[in-house]
Amino acid sequence: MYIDMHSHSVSSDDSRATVEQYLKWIQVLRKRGHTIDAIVLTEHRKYDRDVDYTALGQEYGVLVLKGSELDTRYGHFLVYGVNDRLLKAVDFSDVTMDSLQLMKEAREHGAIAIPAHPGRPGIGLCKFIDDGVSFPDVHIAETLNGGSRAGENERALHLAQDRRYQGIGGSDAHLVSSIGTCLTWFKTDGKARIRNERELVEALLSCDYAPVRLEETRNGDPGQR
Amino acid sequence: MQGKLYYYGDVELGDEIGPLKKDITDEAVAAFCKVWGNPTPNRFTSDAEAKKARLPGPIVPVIMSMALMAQLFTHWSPNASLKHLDLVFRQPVTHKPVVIAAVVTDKREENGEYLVECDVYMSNEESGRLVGGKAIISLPNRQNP
Amino acid sequence: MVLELEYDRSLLGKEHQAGPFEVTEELVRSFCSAIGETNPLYTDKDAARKAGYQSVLAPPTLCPIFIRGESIPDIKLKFGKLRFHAGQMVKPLAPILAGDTLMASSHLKEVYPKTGRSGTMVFIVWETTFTNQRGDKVAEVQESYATRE
Repeated sequence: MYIDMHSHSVSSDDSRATVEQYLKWIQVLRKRGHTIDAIVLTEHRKYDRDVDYTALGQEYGVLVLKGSELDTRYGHFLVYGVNDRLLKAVDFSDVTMDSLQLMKEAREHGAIAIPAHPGRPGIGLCKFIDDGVSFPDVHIAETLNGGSRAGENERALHLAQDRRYQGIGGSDAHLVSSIGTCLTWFKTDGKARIRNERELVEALLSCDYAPVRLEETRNGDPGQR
Repeated sequence: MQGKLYYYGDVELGDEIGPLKKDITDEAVAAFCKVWGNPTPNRFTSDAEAKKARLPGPIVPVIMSMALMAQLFTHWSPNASLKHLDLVFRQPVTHKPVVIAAVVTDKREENGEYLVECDVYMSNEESGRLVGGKAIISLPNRQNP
Repeated sequence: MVLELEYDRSLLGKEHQAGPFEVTEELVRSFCSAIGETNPLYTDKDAARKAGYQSVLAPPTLCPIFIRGESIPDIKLKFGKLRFHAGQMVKPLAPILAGDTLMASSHLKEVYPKTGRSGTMVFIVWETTFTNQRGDKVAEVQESYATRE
């Protein structure tokens, strides 16, 4: 399955794309021969708990999952598997939160927090590692981000290779035509396809996956190439 | 004025608009500041003032960049009417040539108007994408021009 | 600990009036000249009349030049020293013609923190509605300013 693991809708302060517009754009990409099976909405500093995109997703044949991108004192973190217990334990609007604590709370409540764009100045994990902060609980990082500038993805990949982190990819889309520019390919078969946020977390913890660019989805499953 | 007359039916999702290349000169920015009533020297016209604000050099006022980006649509089709332009400025725009382009991302009929929605960008060679946002324009429909 | 923002919260939602702002032919001409705009509807009276307008039109992005320090009060935010214009939205609602007189009504919409490449920032968002001499709404504008250290 190809999943865009990082995107923002108009629910995020700096995005100008509605979810439906993303799904319409995915039809354009599919007509051009690309494969996108799902997107994860990772809104800034919030989780849209009461919004249900199931029907919309079914209308367009795209699985729409929800997550968050949180600002912490050690950079941005993508959070998957957000649930009520985690929402009670963590103030998503707190831009000074301790990401070490966030990762611990996420783990304890069945979710997962992953450093976003680690190579980005100011808000990427690389900077804080360089500052001497230790992150023993990081095993996965976003090594391919569609919104990164020159050198940032390379820095993220270098970090992941050094520390043997698994990598994920996401577009970091804030505008419609950016959706799907980077994705994560999950090795699934017909039985084990990811259908909801819980299964996404399970897949992140146990499956084979790799970050890919949109162009790579034209040839189908990377495992068969 | 250049530009062909486009109608609502001529446009599909994924169509590209532009590019429009604009040279942004020191003189043009100074002239804009005069129209705007922003006293000079300032961060838009003076290297020293820009450096005080920790900018790489004099920058283009946001509202001037917006005005330039709006021109993309009227240059593309003189019968396009701008209904909404919403921009996020990711990097400062300096006095260098820029390229403005858009891609059609949605179209719909709403309250009797035929609307085309686009992602619109401004970039330069040095820094890549500087500004990104959304534009909504209305076009006439051939059946009801 | 959550970042506590100190500013004049009494300004949230409170309308501030500014104006009148005269949209003169000279202003429209100078604005167009500065941005290299050549659309005859904005620059040629005869072309504007042929299109059914009494005078030249103002470009749809003209209004924001009237939003200056005097129309937007200082919210006395206790954070940061540098302020930048980070976002701009304009929604033209009706044609603005040379000869029109506009009034602006602005309110503080929200103030919130976020982090980015430049570190921690506080965003200040203002919304302004412009009306003409007949009381018709002619444009809505939203502006975001980012404050950082």
